[in-house]
Amino acid sequence: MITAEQKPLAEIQGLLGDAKKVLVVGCGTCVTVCFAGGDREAQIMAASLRMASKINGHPQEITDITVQRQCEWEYLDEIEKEIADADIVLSLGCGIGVQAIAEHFPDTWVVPGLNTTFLGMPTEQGVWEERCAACGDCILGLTGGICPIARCSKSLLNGPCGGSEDGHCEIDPEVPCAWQLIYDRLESKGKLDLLLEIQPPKDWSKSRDGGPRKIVRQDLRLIEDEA
Amino acid sequence: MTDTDYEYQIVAYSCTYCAYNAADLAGGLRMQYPSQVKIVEIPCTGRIDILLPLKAIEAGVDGVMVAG
Repeated sequence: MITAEQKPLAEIQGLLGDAKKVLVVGCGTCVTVCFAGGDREAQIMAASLRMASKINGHPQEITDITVQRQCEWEYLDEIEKEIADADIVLSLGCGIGVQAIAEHFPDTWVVPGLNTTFLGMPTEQGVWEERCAACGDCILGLTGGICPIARCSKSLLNGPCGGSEDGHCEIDPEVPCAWQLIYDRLESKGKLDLLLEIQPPKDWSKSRDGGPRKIVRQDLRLIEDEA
Repeated sequence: MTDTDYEYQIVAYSCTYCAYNAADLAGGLRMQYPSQVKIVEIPCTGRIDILLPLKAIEAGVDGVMVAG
């Protein structure tokens, strides 16, 4: 999932300025399950901002609404009227949601309420960890299902480095060394021979180094007459 | 109005299985409690979400009690 964290209230108030009508838009997918920007968080955010605006002596009209996914036009179409009525939209979606609203409603000023953080998963209640860097060229088949791009601080392809100490990374004793995890995993599966092959430099053109990425699936596209 | 005249408004979210029953019993026994306490029956205090007290406070109450 995409994980995110809420921005501090003061920063959000700064982004909203003195707009009279504010619409807080939650998203029902990734940021709901990481408790950052779902329906519940949108309601709490709206209530908090309403109270803060009253305390500041400049009451704002702040409402909230949540769509299933902010990153698809069809779901955004459902809130067209509410968006049009607002002076400013506070998106509690990830960065994709914020941009989708800006792109779909060009007349609307939209600001982010979250800091989109990483692609990860909950490892225990209340704890999320990064797992994938969306590098565009997956090598998990070589590393026993543990990603050195996302989980090694240096994204090494041939690790570990000299900073691996007692199974942990030199950047923080709380951070496991991804290459220790990979070694242990491959050893347990009798596949240590995979480590004997030196991996050549990765093709980063499939990642961000290649510029903004795009996938086109001709088999899924509508033919032009139908579009 | 002096400070002592001010009537605090309190919302008491009460679990249906214990606190609400206790309040019910107290009523049956003709026991008195201040009228500014508004009891809201909830199925369980596990139902309490931050949104409930937030909405009550936003509506103007002075305090929220969770009883269960």
